[in-house]
Amino acid sequence: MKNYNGIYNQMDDNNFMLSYKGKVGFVEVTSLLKILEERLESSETDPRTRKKVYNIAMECYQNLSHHLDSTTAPFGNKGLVIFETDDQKYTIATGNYIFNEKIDSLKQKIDHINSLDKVAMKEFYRQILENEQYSDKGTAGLGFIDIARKSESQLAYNFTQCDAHISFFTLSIDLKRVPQTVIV
Amino acid sequence: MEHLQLEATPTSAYIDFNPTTGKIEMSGRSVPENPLEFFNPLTNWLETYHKEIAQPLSFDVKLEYFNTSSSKCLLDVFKKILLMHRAGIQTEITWWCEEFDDDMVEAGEDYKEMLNMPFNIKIIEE
Repeated sequence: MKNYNGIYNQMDDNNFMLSYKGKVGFVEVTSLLKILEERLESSETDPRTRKKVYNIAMECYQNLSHHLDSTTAPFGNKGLVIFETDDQKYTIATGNYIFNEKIDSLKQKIDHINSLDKVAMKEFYRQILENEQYSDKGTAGLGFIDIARKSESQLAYNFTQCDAHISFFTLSIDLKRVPQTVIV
Repeated sequence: MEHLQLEATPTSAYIDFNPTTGKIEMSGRSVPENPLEFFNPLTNWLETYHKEIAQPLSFDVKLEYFNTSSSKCLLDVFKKILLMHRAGIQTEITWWCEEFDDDMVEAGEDYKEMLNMPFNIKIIEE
């Protein structure tokens, strides 16, 4: 038998609200979002934060499902979804395999978004909304910018090279929580 | 002309496009897997309305959530209405937001500034 206790302990962190590794097609992503929404209902009293977190998670998870199938064929249709919180913030993280030759363009894209201030980001968003064509999957190329705009924080990312062809890409977004008012 | 009505689903919006009254409405969540498939009938409907009816049109958009793929499709829908506006047909779009939802207000402002036609941003009264 596998060491499930070891696996459990590795993930035994009070801040984990949701963790999932597996197939991340549209159906799975929709189920994960439903769970996340229910957990937020009980963990978050501020409706603005609740909506922002859900919105950002939706973009992140749908991003994962859109980009996974074509890039990770050798590893199957799998991805990683982690949702954590503490008093200060929520963290929405995703992980998936990508081909090494795609790293540079992805890096450039995210670095560019991270370099923009609020006004420049708005401008960039509108430019893409107005001018870019739909991809063959019907996506609009707006995911990362939308996530950055709504979270008002940097898109943190990492690439871990697995072999000559494949790397593991993680994206992590922090969203500040407002101090919860305690009703006496 | 068809009265286009679609039930809301967890990932797609409620639609009520009434050609007799010229009142059209979209509400709920628009986070579909394939937004083009969902939105194409809407843009087609508007083209037909422009050609065959060409009467005043008012569009109420009351979305709780929408994904970025839908945001592009929405712009295409608004552009069909912009064509009517430019052809001298009276049109009005109202973008409804929850009071706390400044992201939704901001999204409305993006469209308003891009479109240059009657576009109201209103807060839903509780």
